[in-house]
Amino acid sequence: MIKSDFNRRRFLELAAGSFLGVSASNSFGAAGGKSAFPLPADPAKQLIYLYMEGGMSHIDTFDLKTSHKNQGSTKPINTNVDGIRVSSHLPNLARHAEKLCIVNSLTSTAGDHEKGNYFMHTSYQQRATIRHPGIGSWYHKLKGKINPTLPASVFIGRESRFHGSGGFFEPEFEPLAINEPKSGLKYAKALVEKTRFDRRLNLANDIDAEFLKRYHSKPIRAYGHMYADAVRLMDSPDLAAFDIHREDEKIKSRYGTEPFGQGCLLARRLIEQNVRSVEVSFGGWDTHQNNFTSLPELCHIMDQAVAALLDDLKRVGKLEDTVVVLTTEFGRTPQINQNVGRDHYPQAFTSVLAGGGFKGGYVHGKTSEGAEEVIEGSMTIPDFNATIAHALGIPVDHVLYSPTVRPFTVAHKGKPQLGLLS
Amino acid sequence: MKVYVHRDDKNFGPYSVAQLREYLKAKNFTEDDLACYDGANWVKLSLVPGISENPLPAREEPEQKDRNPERTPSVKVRATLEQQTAKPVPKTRRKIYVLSGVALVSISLIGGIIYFFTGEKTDSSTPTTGSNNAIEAISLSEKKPSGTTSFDPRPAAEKIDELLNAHLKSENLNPNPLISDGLFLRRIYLSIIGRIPTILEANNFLNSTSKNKHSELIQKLLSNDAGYTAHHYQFWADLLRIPTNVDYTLYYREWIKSQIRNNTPYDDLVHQLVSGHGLIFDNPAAAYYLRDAGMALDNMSNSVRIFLGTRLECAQCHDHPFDKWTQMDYFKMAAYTYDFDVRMGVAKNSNRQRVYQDFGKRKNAAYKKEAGFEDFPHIHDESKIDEWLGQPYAPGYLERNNLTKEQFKEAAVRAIAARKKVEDFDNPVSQSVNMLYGHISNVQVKHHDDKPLKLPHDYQYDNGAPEEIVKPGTMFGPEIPHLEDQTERKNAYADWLTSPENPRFTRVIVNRLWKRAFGHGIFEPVDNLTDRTEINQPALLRFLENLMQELDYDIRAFQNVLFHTELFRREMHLEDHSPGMKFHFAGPLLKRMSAEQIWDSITALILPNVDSYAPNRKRTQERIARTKAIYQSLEGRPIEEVLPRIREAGAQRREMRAEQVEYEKKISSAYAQSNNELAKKLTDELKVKVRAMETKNRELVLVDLKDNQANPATMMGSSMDTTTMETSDRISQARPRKAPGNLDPNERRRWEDRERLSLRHFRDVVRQMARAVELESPAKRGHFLRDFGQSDREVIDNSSSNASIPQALYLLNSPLNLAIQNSNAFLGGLLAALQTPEDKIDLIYRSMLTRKPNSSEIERVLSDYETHGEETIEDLVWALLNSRQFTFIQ
Repeated sequence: MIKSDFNRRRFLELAAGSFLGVSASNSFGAAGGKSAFPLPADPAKQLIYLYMEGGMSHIDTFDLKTSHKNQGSTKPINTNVDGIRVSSHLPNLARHAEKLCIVNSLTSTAGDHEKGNYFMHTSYQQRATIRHPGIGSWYHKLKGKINPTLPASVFIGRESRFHGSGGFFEPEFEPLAINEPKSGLKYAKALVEKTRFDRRLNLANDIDAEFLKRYHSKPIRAYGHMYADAVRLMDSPDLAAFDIHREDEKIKSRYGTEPFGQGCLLARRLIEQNVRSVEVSFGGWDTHQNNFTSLPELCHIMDQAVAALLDDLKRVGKLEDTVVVLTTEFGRTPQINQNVGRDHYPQAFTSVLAGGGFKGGYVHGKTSEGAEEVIEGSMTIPDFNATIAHALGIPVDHVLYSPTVRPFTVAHKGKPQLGLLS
Repeated sequence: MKVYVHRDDKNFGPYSVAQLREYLKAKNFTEDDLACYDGANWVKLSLVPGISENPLPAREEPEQKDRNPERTPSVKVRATLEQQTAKPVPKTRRKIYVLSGVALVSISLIGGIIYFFTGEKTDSSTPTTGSNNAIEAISLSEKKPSGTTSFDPRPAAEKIDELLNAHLKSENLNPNPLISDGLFLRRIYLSIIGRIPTILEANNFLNSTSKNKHSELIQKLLSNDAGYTAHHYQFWADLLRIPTNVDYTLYYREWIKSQIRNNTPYDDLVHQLVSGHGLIFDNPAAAYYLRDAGMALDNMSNSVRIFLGTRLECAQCHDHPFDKWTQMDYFKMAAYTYDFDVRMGVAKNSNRQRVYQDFGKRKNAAYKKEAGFEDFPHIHDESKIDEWLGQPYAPGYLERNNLTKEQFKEAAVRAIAARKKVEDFDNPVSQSVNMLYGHISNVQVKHHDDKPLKLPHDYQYDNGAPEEIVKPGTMFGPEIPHLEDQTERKNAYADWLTSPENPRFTRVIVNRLWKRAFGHGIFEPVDNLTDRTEINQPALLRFLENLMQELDYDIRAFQNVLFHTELFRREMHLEDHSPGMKFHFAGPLLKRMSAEQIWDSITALILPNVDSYAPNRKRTQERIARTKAIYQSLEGRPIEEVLPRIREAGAQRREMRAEQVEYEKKISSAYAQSNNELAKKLTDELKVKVRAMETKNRELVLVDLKDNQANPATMMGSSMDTTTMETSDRISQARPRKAPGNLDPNERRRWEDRERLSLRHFRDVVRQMARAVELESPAKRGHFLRDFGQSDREVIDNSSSNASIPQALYLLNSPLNLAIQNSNAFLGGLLAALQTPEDKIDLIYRSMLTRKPNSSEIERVLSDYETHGEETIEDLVWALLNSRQFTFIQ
């Protein structure tokens, strides 16, 4: 729908602006100027986004229905918060329940992996004509970097088409991708010792000098800056953040030895060095078959890693200012299927928030007896994302334009659920 | 060992040593004739190892090139090469390009100047040098290409220059000066075949004294099918967003490549794409619609953007905010393709549907049987029994069949239970069907029987009602008369789109190709034409459109004209240029090489014959054959064959399930007792069993696959071609260099360590190396190609040439430069044969930057060399790799 106060001339202005490389980000807030949702006075400053790829079963993790036949063989345990129970496969997180804001009332209609994954990451429906940016890139674009040397957003996880990407933003907003946490940042160390590196760098600069005097247009200068940044990064003590093997062995082992755990450790290190947002992806949750035999292992890895992460963030004093998100594309059918498994179930599912101003020891929303329907506190995915954005100080009605001058916001039409914030 | 002999100003061979011995005996050759057996040196025939009945040494050592310096003739011999019979020339479908010429390559070795004699194969592959390969001195006589007989691009090119110069004059600007041969050489190679020239190719051109050498080079490159395809493919892959990770995309990719290779005219190609229908095995062009499966509306937006340069997407949801298109326009266009159905196995007469029909038959039969009455009404579930009993016809039925309500209920409950039992029993079969058909989920496009496009439920304008059916209609240009027949309508739409009368069809491709050649379109952006688009040089644009039509949309011929213009040979425009600013074409616009061009250029420094090196081709063919075989097994065979097999597969799965339940019990109890180790062990065991069952399923049903590969009968031409085999052999036979004899033990050990490390890096790099067109695309994140901006093939034209830190780190700290310098690499091998730093510096500059180093550059490098020796040469390769002179096209 066209807003009534758009007019053609304004569009042309904006179109011209984006052509000339002028960012339209300052020029168009909500119609009328004031945001409908006043931002927190002291918003969180960083984001850790933990994505359980494949559809994490809600009834077997955080939304137990012990007395119902849908529960199957999953057993509950108490947590350190009265009234909150979780799966027995999450013993570590059970000790952190006072930090957790559990949302049991997420609901969506996107029931296939691609669409669901895309929708969760962007709040928009997947299209064949455009790619929408994820929250991390919105964050970077609107709030910039904290640490100027390190990238503003990082994605840690194995190859997959779907994760928070830079979408239609300029290429510099694309998150840096790290496929293997244990290998850190690729090619960040020189293959030769320092004196030789400096010598060859000198040689390179000298023999390029004449060329650069003649050719100094923007793209060439941009390359020069990037090289300078890269060399600076190589020398920077901040680079050590990417090397998880520098971590104290005791702390490192708390995260477990699986890539996801190591990814969480890497995320913490990056957050410590003031990287704005880090996404860590963990696949394998698509338990159509062998739900009860696969989940224990998956939960164990996740439980250990996330608990260690929360502990650690607290220890280094970052938990209050960092929003931690644990989410997935949809839940799984409460009714157990023929393969002793559970299928896709977007109608009701669970995600967890922590840190960054979110209430701890809190459960939002409720599902029916058999975890089949949301009966209280229904929340759409855009609402969920809007709440995260809001906690990070990103205005949800701030419009940015794609190169074809189409308007977008960080969470589409989502409204922040302020009840989740303390 | 292959030996060439030079005698009387002619080259002969290659021959084996045994043959040579015969020739010597027969006095066809003499011992004083010159022979080359190591690809580097011409020595007296008598010195060829083995010629005098001594056993051949097992391996030739490269440093033996330094033997007998006094014997190396410092004779400059012009070879007049004549037809050799060596290898069969790969024929292309329409043209046979065959070239001759004197090719001189100069490489200085100690003690003198030796000229290599080399000819060129049709695909411009470079002679291989290295410890074990001989130079292919194949030369062939020139023949006119059969296709483009007497088309002379020059008049059209001159006209273009005329128009350009007139425009510049009117803007009070001067055209930029013309560039040197060296710059032209690099530029044209990158523009046509997407990589820098090898030093041999460069010398070939630079040393030629032909009056028409620029034109000849352009023609030669345009007829290098392999190289041209490698580069031009990326143009299409970016536009059509062709990934390679799903099996149908392999068909798509290979088909597009063959269209490019065969120079299918553009309008023909587009027509095939937008009218693509049927099975991809029969018509790979159908993949165009498979790409946007499930997003038919977006697909139309994409078609209009790619081929008509118009952005229609906004109009999907409302009248376009700043262009003239209405939402109705959008829907009328989309109605042409909305009824294209890409789902597999939904047709009523497909095997898959027949399997489901069989399920229905079985469960209904069980229902009826249990109920005991042939005419027992269908009741969905127990909750509906009372509802049925409340119907007006119920009492009559009960009476006819002598049933009380209770008896009826009982029967119904029993029947429903029996039906459910069969349904549950058949569930594993259904699961197996899903698993098997998953392999061929995207292989077909056909017309939907009944799927008209309707306006959206919230349609807000006066010219239509929500949910009203939309009749297809064109957005501009000639109207297409209404056609009932779906196929006719589809073809009419394709005709309209690709018609010369279509005001945007020709304009858009002409502009895209212009931008590809010169860095900036005649209008920009290239795919967002509106009535307000400024076209600064309308006469030029019109001329180009006419030219394209005159050439019958022959893309290569059109580009031929563009490359012949003076504009192409002008110095680059050096100032900053922002999008939206006017561009007057005093010279082309400077830009960075694309990710593929950089990668391919580095590949050409490391591997020989890169244009035809296709290490993955066999695997691609296998995957393609596999998909087809799976389809054949499932849908190509009669249902009488397929159904029993599928049911049997279901039975296997059913059996597995029973085991699974047992396992689940044990695993759960293990966890309950905190015996995680046991639980994990059992879980893994179960996984293995499930996988084994699915393998059995496949083996049972997919009879056209053997060992997970298509039967040989269904595979076509999957053997590896000779060039690829040779290069693969070369890679697998790579060895470290032996240390020179004059080193003390410590130095020797250091040498060997360095060589081993260098070899390791070489192997790591070349293991996955080939031209980008032969690699997975998009490449994985973290791969050179992605880091340097290769399109992710998700959005049209999504490639970028922006700088990024991973790019810089890659060039700064990866082992690429070590691989380039390893003695088994192309450049490294040539370097290893040289002695003096001046020669090496010269070779490196000419190989990497396509020019000689100037004196201050030489001085600068030598000053480091004085202190640090050979390390400096390594540093030089590294420095040039990291130089903007390498990555930016001048």
